[in-house]
This record gives sequence, C-alpha cells and structure tokens, in this order.
Amino acid sequence: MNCFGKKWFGKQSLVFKLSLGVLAGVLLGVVLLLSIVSSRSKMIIEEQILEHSAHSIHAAVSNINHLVLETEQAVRGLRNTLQQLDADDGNSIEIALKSTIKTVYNSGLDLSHAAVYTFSSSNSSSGTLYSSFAQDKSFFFNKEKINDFYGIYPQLKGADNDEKIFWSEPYISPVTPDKRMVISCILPFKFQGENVFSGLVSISIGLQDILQHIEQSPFQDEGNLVLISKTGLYITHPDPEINLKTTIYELASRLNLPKLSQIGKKVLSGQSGQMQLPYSSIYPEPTISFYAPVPHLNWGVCLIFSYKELFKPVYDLQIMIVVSVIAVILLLLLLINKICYYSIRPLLKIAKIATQYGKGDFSEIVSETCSDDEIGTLSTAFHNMRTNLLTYIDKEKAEISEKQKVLSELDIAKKIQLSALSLDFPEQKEFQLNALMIPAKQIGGDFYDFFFLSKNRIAIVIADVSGKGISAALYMMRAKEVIKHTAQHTSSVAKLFEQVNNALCEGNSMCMFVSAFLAIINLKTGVMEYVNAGHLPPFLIANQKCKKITPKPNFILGVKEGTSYKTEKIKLLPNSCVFLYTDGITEAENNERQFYGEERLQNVLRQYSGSPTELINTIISDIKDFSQNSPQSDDITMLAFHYRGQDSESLTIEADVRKLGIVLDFIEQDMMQKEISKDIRTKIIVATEELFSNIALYAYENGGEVHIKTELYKGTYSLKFMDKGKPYNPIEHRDPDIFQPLQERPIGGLGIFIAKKMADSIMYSRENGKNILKIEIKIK
Amino acid sequence: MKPEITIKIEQTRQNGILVCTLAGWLDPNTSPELEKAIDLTGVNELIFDLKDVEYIFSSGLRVFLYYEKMMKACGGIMKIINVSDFNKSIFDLVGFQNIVEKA
Repeated sequence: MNCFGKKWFGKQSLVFKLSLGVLAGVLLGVVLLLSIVSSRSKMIIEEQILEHSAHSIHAAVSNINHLVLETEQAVRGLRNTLQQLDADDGNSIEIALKSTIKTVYNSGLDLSHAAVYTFSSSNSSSGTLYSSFAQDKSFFFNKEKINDFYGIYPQLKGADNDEKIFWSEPYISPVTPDKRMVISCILPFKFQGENVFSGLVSISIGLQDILQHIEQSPFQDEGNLVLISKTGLYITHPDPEINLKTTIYELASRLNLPKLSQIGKKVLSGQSGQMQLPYSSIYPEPTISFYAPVPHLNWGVCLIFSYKELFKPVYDLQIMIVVSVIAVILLLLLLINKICYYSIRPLLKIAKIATQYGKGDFSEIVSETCSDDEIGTLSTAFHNMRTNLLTYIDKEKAEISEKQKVLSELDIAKKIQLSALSLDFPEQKEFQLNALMIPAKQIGGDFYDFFFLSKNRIAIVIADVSGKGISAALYMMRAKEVIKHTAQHTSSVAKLFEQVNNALCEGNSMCMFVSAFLAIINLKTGVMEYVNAGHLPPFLIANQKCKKITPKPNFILGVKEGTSYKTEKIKLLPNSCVFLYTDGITEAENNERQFYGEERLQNVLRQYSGSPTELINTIISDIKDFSQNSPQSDDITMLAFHYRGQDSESLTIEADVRKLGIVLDFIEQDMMQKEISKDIRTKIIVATEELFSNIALYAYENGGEVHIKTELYKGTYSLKFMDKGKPYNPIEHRDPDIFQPLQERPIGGLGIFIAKKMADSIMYSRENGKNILKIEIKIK
Repeated sequence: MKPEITIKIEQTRQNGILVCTLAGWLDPNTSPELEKAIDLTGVNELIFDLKDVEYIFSSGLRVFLYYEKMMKACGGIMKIINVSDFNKSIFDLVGFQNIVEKA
C-alpha cells in the first residue's frame, strides 16, 4: 500500500475498515468456492452426458435396428411365400399379402403398408402393384396396373439390382390415405421356375413410427436427436424448413461449419464419436454432438447438447450461491455495523468525557459497563483514572493553598525585612551614603543599617543572618535592633559586638547566627573604628584603588556567649569610599552556574567615580548582565559610604537643586569658620543659591556634578563653581529691565542678575571642557 | 546634618482678603509648592506675610511676580508685608519695591 493509500485507510472509520475486511474475505471465499463448484459440477455433468449420450444413442440405434430387422424378416417371409407361387397367380399373391399384413399387424409391428409389385414380362417399369394396409383393425387391399413404376417411385430405383434388401429414402406413401412419409424395405423375388426377378416385395414403415421408437429410448431432455439418411438428408430436425429438405452437407456449407460436414461423412461411413461445434442450426451457442451410425439403413444418429443448457443447473447454482452470499454479506455488514456501533459507542463517549476532563470538568462519569471485553476494561480504567485524578487534584489544591499561605507569609516576611531598611540616605558635606538590598525569592536575612551616634559620628552596618525564610527575617530584625540599641550606649565597637553577641545568644533556640561588619566613622577626623564578626571583609576605595579591610575576621554573632571582639581602626582619606556587601553579590550565578566573584566586583569598584549611588547602580546592572535570567538565589545587599573629608573649602556634589541645602550649609559653615559677617554671608548665600540653581537646572541634560571651591585671600572671599556641562557664560546673559512694569515682565531671568548684584566681581572661563564661574566679595 | 529646605504656607481668608503667612525659604525646591498652594477664587486682596522668610531667591520672586500678574488681571491687589531688610533689598534690586511694605 502506498503512502496515500495508508493515509486514506487510516482516515476511515473502524466500521468501514472491518466491513472492508469482511467483504474482501467473503468475496475471496465465494470466488474460490464458485470456481471449485462450477468446475467440479461441469466435470460431473460432462461425464454424465458422455455416459448418457452413449447410452441414448445406443438405445436409439438398437430400437431402430429392432424395427428394421423385424421389417426385413417380414419382407423375407413374404418373398419366400411368393417364390413358391407360380407366375400370374393373382389370388395367391393377394392372399400372401393379406396374411403378411395380418401377421405383422397382429405381432404388434405397426407397419405402414406392404406391397407386391410384379413386373410385366417385357420390363420392370411396368407391372401390377398389389398393396395392403391395416387401419383400425381393418385390412385394405388394392391392385392396380402401373406403367412407369420408377417414374412414380424414384426412391425405389435400384431395388431390383441385387437379391438383397434395399432400404429406400423417405417418400410419401402412395398407399395409405394419410400420405404419410415412409421408408420402404424392398426385396426382389422370383416366381417358381423363373430365372429372372419377377417383381418386388416391400414393407414400408412410417417415419413417425421410427421416431416413436426412438423416443421410447431413455432420452435426454436437454439434447436434440437428429437422424440423417444415407444421403445425408435430415430426417428429424426441429426446423421444418430443414427437415426432409436439406442435407447435412448443404447445411454445413450454408452455416459455414466444416465440422458439421465432417460429422456427416464420419457417421455415414459407419464411425461413431463426438464433436464440439461453436454453434449449430439448433443452438446459437457452443454445442457438443455425439454421433453413431444406424446399420442396415446406413443412416446416422446425432445427439446434440447445448453447453449452456447442459450447465444450466451449474449456472443456476452459481446464481443461487451469489445471491445467498450477497444476502450473507449484507447481513454481516449490518451485524458489523451494529456490533461496532454498540462497541464503539462507549469509546466515543469516553473520548467526549476525556475532552471534558481535559477542560477540568469532571462532572460526567463513565458508566462501568458490565462487559468483560477490552472496552469494559477501558471503562473501568477510565473510571479509576477519574477517581485518582480527583483525589490528586484535591490533594494538589490543598497543597497549593498551603503553599500560597507560606508564600504570603514569606511575602510578609519580605515586607518586614524591606521596611526595616532605611531608604532615607543622609548626606552631608563630609559624606554621602547609599545602600541597597534586593531580597531573593526565598527570603534571606541580610540587612544594612546606618545611624548617627552624635552629630559627627555615624555608624554603618552590614550583616547576613544564617538560614532563610521567616525565621531568618525575624532574627535579622532582632539583630538589627539589638545592634542599633546597644550602639547608643557603648563607646567601643568591640564592646558593642560583645554585648550584641551575648544578647543574640540568649534564647537562640533555633541556633541561628549572624555575620556582621560594623564601623563608626568620625566625620571630622575621618577615623573609622570597626569590628568584623565573621563577615566578608569590606573594600576601601581610594584613588582608583581598592583593598580589603581587615582580612582576619572575628567570630560570628549569636553562637558562643562571652566571645570577645577586637576593635580595629583606620583613617579615611578624603574622597575615599567604604563598600560593604554580602555574599549575595559574589555568589550571584549565571546560566553556566559560574559565580559573579570578587574579581569582577573589584573591577567595578576600581572605576568608582565618587558617587555611591552611581556605584551601587553600576554594580546591580553588572550583576544583571552577568547572571542574565538566572534566578537570584540569595539576598543582594550592599552599602557604600563616601567620605568627602574635612576639606571645608571644597565640595563636589551632584548638580541637583535638591542638593541646595548641602551646598548652602557647606558655604555657611565655611564662612562661619572664616568669621565673615552676617550681611556678607547673606549676600554670598543668595549668590550661591542662584548660581548653583542655575547650573543644577540647565548645565546637564542627564545629570552631572558641580565642584565648589572657596577661598579667603587678602580680604576677598572668592567662590568657584566648576561643572562639565554644556558651555554657558551667564555674564553674557542680558540683564532684565527692572524698570519695566511688573505685569509686562517675563517670569525668569532674574537669578543671574541677582547673583551679579550680590558680588563685587564675577568671571567666567571655559577650561578643559569645564565651565568655571568665579565670584568675589570683599569682606573688609 | 542635612539642612532642611522647606516652606510653610498658612492661609487666612476674610472678606475677600487672603493673608498668606510664609515660613522658610523660597528656592527652586519650594517655590513650585507655593505656586500651586493658593486658590485665588473670590480673593480681592492677596497679602504675603514674609515675617519668617529668611531668604528670597529668584525662584521665589518669580512666584510673587506670577501672583501679582494674576491679581492684576482680575482687578485685585497684592501686597507683601513684613519683609526683612535684606530681602527688601533683593525686592528693590529687581524693581519689586511697589508691592513690598517694610517690616
């Protein structure tokens, strides 16, 4: 089967496939059966025909022979009687004739008539004919003079040639009144004392009588018996146009059947046999002819069978078989259809229900069928599947709601954790600070913290609580509060951690612990006191270099009561940054399960530009670049503390109006230190506000920094603003017309004007891509 | 410590007169707040009391200019009272002297 055929077959319904299979099987069986039955029955019929036809022909021939022999015997008897008579003894002839007729008639032989013909002395064609016949037990006798005997009876010509019995061709009886067709058995005789033939005796038999004899034989209904005379003339033929009018040879040439003529020749030369003909004068279809000679008469008998008629029972049988097979097939198809329908119906129902199950609708139930067949098994299995599915779904639902509960608890924990962390980052002229925590999906216990201990002392903390989940979050809250609270009352960081450790050890039934780093920075001196309890060492960034602070950590918090901690100290240089972090950063993973690592972190730290906010943003985006879409496995926490130092004469700050307070505070402090009078201070404050605001609002499109430097030199206080924004010379800006009525004034353009008026001099220059604006005010 | 830059706005309405008492600074951070704070419906006279205003910057001046224009447009008047000497000098400097009364 080709691909298309397979596809086509696959598409058909099961009923169709089964029907097709059964149909093919039954048809094959029927064809085989039919061919066997028909060939066998044809063989049997042919055998029977052979036997029967031989028998029939034999019977026909012997019946004719019987008649012929009796007739010949009667003729011989009559002749013998006549040969004892003297010539011209008419009375004796009449007596002999009558007695013969009577004898024959009484013996049951139904002769047509008997006759004696005496030649006149001169020739045989004239003489006296004595004839007699019996009819209805009456006997008739006739005597007449005949002049042209052979002219009248040409069929009898040649009968006087020999002292032998002569059988004539059929002719119409001259004696009987019914003008029947007869054949005559003739024998010449001699009266006593004569040397030559004195006349002829004859006994005639009606053709009808002969045929009656034949028909008495066990004859085949299917066949046609045909007699031909010694000249080949048809004596019995169903077609009256042919009968007694045509010879077998004439018919053979007329029908273009050379075989027919062969039959004639063979049978008349004394042979018997059989021959098949494609058609004949009787049947238009193929026939078989059996033929045999009739001795004495030199006739032939033919028995002709039509194959069609012969095999009619076979054909009838075939038709019967075909009809019954069709009926059986129809019945089978109907049965298949019904069986399939009733068998498949549950399957279709199961399929429909399965679709509904797929959509989550479990309301319909597959009825458990009573049948033990495959469909019954499937139904039971399906029923069980539904039960199991429902159980599973219920279980799953319960689990999901349980999970959701846990998740929402985790969510709460996450919120607790995040809300504990301050996002309000302080900024002063001495420092800037920023921190970030991104909690992992499964919450950890990271935290950062910062708080002032006095005006000039700030504490920064980073910590990582062991474990994850709610317990970690709660412990983190506790640790954070304990550290903050203890720090308020403790002078040294080592003592602080010792107290925190003892507090955290108390009631720590969950055996949790914290790694933490804490530093207290003196903003005036830059001295940083710190203690590290098992935490990752922070980095110190200064002058594009970064190094770790204290490589040797103390023991973690919350495990061993009474642990002592050691304070360490360093002095922060101006414009350095302390970077605290947790292992969530270095252990962030990418898709290849590689860690982000310390080296990569250090590379980012080295590019530190002076802004802690920017540093944290850069690190986060670098981690994102690294880990791609890998899920975050641990909290990411970091804190960057930028120490500007106590250089009171310069400030680098973001160009943002929100930084105005810091800028003005820085200037105010500086001027106070320089003991500048209140009036001047006010002027300078106003000028600074206007100039810084101007830079903050217009210099950068995407943000940048402003560097401010103050100087008191020879009674002149100077203030320099430097920015890397677009070139802008405010001095070139046209002053507003202050005499214009207020209603006609444009809103704006006043700031630079005010600043100019506040200062004694104002200068602008552009150097190395920087705008430098300097104002000077004489203070004395 | 981070110096707080804030503005406190206190409004008293009576007979079409709105007295707006300000406390704090008027700088680019706080001025927009003032610009949005006042509803001039039914106000014939608008009075700003700058008793507790330490500094006036150009951004603050702009807001006063804005309100001056609004009031003039509907036939009202605007006054600024209790202005410190220094602040008065700023107003004077930019030609706002007509609307300012000295403290």
